Amino acid sequence: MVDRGDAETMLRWEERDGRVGHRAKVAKAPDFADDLVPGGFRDNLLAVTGVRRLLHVVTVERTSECVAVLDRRDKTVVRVYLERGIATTGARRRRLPLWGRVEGLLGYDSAFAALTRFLESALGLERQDSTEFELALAVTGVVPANQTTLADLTLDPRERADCATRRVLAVLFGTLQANEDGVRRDLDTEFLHDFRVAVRRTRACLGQLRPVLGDQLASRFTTEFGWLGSLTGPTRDLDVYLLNLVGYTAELSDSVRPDLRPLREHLTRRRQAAWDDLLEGLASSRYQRLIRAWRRVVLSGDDTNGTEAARPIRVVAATRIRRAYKRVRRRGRALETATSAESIHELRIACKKLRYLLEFFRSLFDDGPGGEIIRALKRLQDDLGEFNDLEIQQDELQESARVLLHDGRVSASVLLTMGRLTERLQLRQHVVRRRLGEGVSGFVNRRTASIIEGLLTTGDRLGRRVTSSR
Amino acid sequence: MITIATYNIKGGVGKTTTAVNLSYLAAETGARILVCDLDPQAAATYCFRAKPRIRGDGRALVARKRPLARHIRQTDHHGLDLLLAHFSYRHLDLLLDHSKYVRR
Repeated sequence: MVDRGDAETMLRWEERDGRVGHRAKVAKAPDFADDLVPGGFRDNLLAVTGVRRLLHVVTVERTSECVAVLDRRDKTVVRVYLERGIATTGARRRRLPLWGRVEGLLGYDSAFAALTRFLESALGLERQDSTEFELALAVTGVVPANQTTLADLTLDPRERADCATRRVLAVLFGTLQANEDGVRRDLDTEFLHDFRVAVRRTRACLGQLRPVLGDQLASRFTTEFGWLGSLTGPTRDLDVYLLNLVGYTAELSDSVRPDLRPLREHLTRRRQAAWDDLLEGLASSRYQRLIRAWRRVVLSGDDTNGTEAARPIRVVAATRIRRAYKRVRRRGRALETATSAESIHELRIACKKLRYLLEFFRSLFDDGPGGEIIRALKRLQDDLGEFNDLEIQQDELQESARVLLHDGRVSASVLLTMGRLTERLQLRQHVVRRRLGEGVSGFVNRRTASIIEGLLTTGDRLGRRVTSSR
Repeated sequence: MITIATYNIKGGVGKTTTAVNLSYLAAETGARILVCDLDPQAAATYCFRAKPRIRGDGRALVARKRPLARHIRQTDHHGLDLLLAHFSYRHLDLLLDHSKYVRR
């Protein structure tokens, strides 16, 4: 919370129970946790918000009177605040109810208890556990981070596959739309990341559930969402690079660190150009058409006419998950013989598709793919992702060196430092590559196979039961 | 960690008062401060108008029989807390010398 007083601006860390933890004096409200001076407040905030931007939610203009309750030594033992306020968000202004806040001081619990007892019994006041922030949200009707995620989605195992798939797609569409504004305004890197994940999941859904959605619909939207994916790719790659560059730079010795500045500036310029292209794409009629058409599909679903559209979702999901697992197994085994970057990339994509299916249909298999196989898959995916990032970054580094040299913007020492960085990336990639074997065997094994097969048999049983009861 | 010592062999020259005021200024910057009043005369505790009292004695504290947090009081200033003084602290040097928890 940002407290803007007459004399100073204070940042206040308020726990859910209303206790005030840290406070820090600031010149203005920070955009990111990283903007704060090093210290406990920044570290704690960073642990929660990471690279996310701090967004304004609601403003409360408040007048507050403080009454201190003293003991015999004139020491304050409890504080009572009487507060009046107006909460504002956008054009909406609402008056908060008159509000009394009792603040106990550490070590004076009995005084606090005595006073609250007095307020409740003698004055008949009612205790409210909500914080001022929650109260302001309630009167203005603001719900921060109002997004449904896949974790909130509960599917019925007997539901028609097309209806269930559409519900999954609707959640993904909601995520896409919720992040679009943040992407356009370039608020922070995670809006684009979440936007992209929603696009990728949608593409996976279109590909993996083609027999449910029907060829015509799947083909049409696969192309369009593929375009949207490639539109957002370059900006995200450069975001990741710039985020990682901070860590890479820190590993280099002080004397050569400034040498990476031209690289950072070059990447920032390229990122800006990529983002401009992205904005242009989002403003294009192709994007508008896609969103309009997709909304119709997700909401009405008239166009879904696949051969498996009417089957129970649990049966379809189990079959699809098994297929996806087999693909991962095949690619995983191939990894033992050939470890080209392409084969690793293919394994990465196969893992993603499987992971998405498991996430889409988690609610169908409460007895099935427990956290265990998802955790093993996630570990493998983390390594695959890092390997891929390092691959992209080395390519980018070479390309950057070529461009910077061509433009005559760099000295020999800058190029040497970039060379040193390339070597570090290579070494790191080598370490990750060696870990991949372990990651694969940690996931592609008998235990996972039996769990996946288990899904299918329960799915089949249910399918038969449903069919025979009709 | 930076250590600042306010020391003088003479009494009543303002060692405790300086330490208390430095802690107040540090708390004003937003840092969370705990003043540990280990002086059996309890001058710092007195500065904050708190009552120097701990059930048990210094021995229980050093032997970790009582949680330290129980003897902490919030002062009238935000972010500034106080570990209360106790008369038994006059033997604290001896107690610490014999404690199994002390690491040099």
